[in-house]
Formats: sequence, structure tokens, C-alpha cells
Amino acid sequence: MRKYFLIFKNAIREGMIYRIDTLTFLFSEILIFFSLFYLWSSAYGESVTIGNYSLKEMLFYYLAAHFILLTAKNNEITWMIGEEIRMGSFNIFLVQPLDYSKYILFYILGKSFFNTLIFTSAFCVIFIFFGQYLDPPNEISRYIYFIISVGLGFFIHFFFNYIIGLSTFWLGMIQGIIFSFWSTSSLLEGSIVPLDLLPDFLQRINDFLPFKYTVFVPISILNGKIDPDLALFLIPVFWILFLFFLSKFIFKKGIKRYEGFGI
Amino acid sequence: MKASAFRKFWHYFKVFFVIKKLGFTGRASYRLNFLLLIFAVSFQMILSVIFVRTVFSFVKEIAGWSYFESLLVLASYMIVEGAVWMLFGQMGAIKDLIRRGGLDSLLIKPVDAQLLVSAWRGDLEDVSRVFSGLAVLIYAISNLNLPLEFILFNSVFYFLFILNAVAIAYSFALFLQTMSFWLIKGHSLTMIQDSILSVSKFPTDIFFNKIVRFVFTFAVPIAFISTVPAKIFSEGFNFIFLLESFAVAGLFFWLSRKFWLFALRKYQSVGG
Repeated sequence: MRKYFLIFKNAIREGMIYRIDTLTFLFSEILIFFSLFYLWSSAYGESVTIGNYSLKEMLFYYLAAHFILLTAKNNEITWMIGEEIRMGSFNIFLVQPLDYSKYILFYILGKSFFNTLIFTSAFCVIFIFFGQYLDPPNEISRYIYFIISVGLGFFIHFFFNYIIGLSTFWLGMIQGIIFSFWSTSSLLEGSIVPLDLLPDFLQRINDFLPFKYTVFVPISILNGKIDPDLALFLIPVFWILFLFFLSKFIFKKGIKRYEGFGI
Repeated sequence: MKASAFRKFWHYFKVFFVIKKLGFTGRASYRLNFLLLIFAVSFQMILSVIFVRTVFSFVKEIAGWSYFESLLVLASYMIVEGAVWMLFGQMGAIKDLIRRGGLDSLLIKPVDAQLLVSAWRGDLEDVSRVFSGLAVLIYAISNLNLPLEFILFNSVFYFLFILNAVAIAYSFALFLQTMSFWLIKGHSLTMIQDSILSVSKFPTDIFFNKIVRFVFTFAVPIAFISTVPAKIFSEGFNFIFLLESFAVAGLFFWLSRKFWLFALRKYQSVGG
């Protein structure tokens, strides 16, 4: 286990080396939130609510969604896995006593830990300046349920990204599948608009998919739109287990197909 | 003198075209990946329309813009963004060339280095952004009940506005990506670029704070990327806007060129 902890620590160090990148990344997210702030403020105009959201609730929703995307959406591992398989640097994992999925998991846990530290402080600053426009909940228990729910969402994202990365064994280039997945999931998880504002048929389809448990459900638990009952935590656990076994199966099949470019 | 300038321009155009052709061929060589990219890019555009549709299903107008007028803004953004991705790959080649040491070999070629880095990357799949934008534009115009002669007359000027918008977006991309000379990784520069450009999805009139609106009109002129071109169909032709559009595009192109040349003088090379 110590070797994986080392990978975790190295990922944090990597984040510190590229701190300017982290800060510019943060700046770009704040800019998007800033434009949404103006858009929704103009959209509300004289209206009190849109759907069942007040302006303050809507802005808080987007702020929370940005926080989740920055800390728990681990998209970069798909590129990483894809490049390692395509360029042949994956070979090294075949001869080292390392479990590849654990290596990727601890790497991204380190990254997420670093991002959480940086972005939590940054979002506190936003709260100081924009606090009057937001409507954060007061109950501590909601924050605890939110963290648990985001944690489960992290693993759903992780296994999806991991499986898509492994598809390089068959496809060679996976940019297309990555972007297709990102676009689709951004709609279905609720990071573009809150899911309860979408048409009914899309909401019904989404009930059979795990995406809403990554963004919409955690925020809805936090802002009190839904009560944190057990099913909201058990269903994502079921999805995580399903994706875990699926990833093991795909990895096994993929290794058989791997041609070991560069050996 | 004029003939020689024309010959030089033609030569540069041919170089740009040949590099593009090679790049596009390479891009399309993984067919399934390429088709999925087209799907992803088109779907991303559809998502923007879904977002605008969702917002307008609850309100009639935003900052004086109706649903179909807002679609004009969104369509202009799609066309400009798509053109800059397709033709110049958002200038993302600069950071890759610097990091991998590939810039050195471009600098010794007998062609302007800015032209080479501009042409180096171009994502053919982004042609679907341009087509999606055109489809949204036609859909919006057809629902605004405008007279045919009004549409035909203003389409010519709309095209000029879009050309200037592409020049502004290109210059902005060049300016930001040139900062890669001082950054180690530089991947986040593309994110900043995308975020700033994505602000132009919405009419700049939403920025009710006058200072913010001024910044997004002249300091970071996103207003000229989509809001101003869209106004030609929502409000009619405005000669002052056209002059401003040319002036801002020219100024930004000149500034980004100066910054690029300044960065080149400071460049220390990686492994060349």
C-alpha cells in the first residue's frame, strides 16, 4: 500500500509544480461562473423563481456544480491512460508489481486532494465577495451528506473515465469517444442546467443512468431540494460496483489485445 | 512592388493550404475517432441551444434579447469559434511545439513562423461547429420574420463582421498562447481562452455593470465576436459598428503580432 501512497504524494507534488496552471484553471472556471451570474441575474429580472429556484438558489447551484467539476471530475485520466497505451509507456506496468487501476486511482486521488485544498480556499473567497447573492444552507448535516455524495460521484466518474481510457486497446485514438462522453455526461449530470428544469422525458431517461448522482443529486441534497434518504447513497454504490467489475473485465480483455508498441 | 506583395501573399496562402491539407488528412485517418469527434462537437453545439432554450422556456427576454435574437448571438459564436478551431486549432500548436522543442525547426524555415504555427494544427471535425452555427443562424433568421431584401442586404455585412470576429478571436488566441513561452505546461491557457470566448455565447447586454460591459467590448472585445454581428439582423446595419469592428480587429491583430515577435526574441529553445 505504501507504493500507492507514494503515487498519491507525487500527484500532489505535481500539482504544486504546475501551480500557475492550477490557478489559471481556477480563473477560467470563475470567469464562466461570472458570466452565468450575469446571465441568470438578467434572466430573472423581475421574476422571483425559475422552475423552483430563486436567483440565489440558482447561483448557489452553479457555484456548487463548478466546485464538484473542479475537485471530483477527474477527466484527465482518460487522456493519460489513452496516451500510455497508444505510445507504449503502458509496457512498464506489465513488468512492475503495480496494479494499474490502483495506480491511476491513487494518482487521481492525489490530484483531487490538491485541487480540493486550492479550490476550497478559492471558493471561500468567492463567498466573501458574492455571499449576498448566494443562498448556502445552514445545516451542517447537509454538508456532510454532500461530501459523501460527491465522494460516490467521484468513483462513478473515475470508473467511467478509466473504462473509456482502456478503450484505447481497441480504438487506438479515443479523443472522439472522450468528447462524446463529456458532452453527454455534462447534460445528464446537471452541470449545464439543473436537471429538474429539463423536459420530463430527459429526466425519466436519466433515472436509469448514474450521471445525476455525480452533480445534481449532491447539490440537491446540499440545497435541501431533496432529502438524503438511503437510496440516494445505495444506488450510486451499486453503479460503482457494476463499473468496477466491468472495468476489470475490460482490462483483462484489453491486455490480451495489447500489442505492446515500443517493446 | 504590388506584384511582389501579391506573389508573397499567394505563396503564403499556398503554404497554409498545403499544411492544412496534410493536417486534415492526418486528423481523418482514424475514421471512427473522427466520426465520434464530429458527433461530440455537434452535440456540444446542441447543448448550447438546449441551454438557451431551457432558460427561455421560463422567461420571454433577457436584457432586451428575445429567444430567436439570442440564437443569433449563439450562432455567431458557433461560427467564429468553429472557424478558429478548424483553421488554427485555437493556436494550441504553440505550447506543444515549445514543450517538445519542435519550434526550433519551424524558425529556420524560409516562411514567417507565425504563419507556420497558425497553420500547424487545425481540427477538421470543427467544420461541424461552423455548419451547426449556420443552421442555427438560418433557423433564427427564418423565425424573426424579416423581409427578404433586409436579410440579403445585411448578410453581406454580417459576413464582414464575422471575418473581423475571426481575426479578433485568432489574435486573442495568439496573444494568450504566446504566453506559453514563459509557462511550463500552458494547457490551462486554452481553458482561459475557451472560457473567455464562451462568454460571447450570450449578448454582452447581460452585463448590466457598465465597467464590465466596457471591458468585454473593448479590453477583451468579445462583443465584436457575436453580439455586434447578431445586431445586424436584430437592429439593422450600423456603419459605426462596422468601423469599430475593423478597428478593433486591426488593432488586436497588430498587438498580438508584436507580442509574438517580442516572445520570439526572448525564446531560449528547449533542445534545438
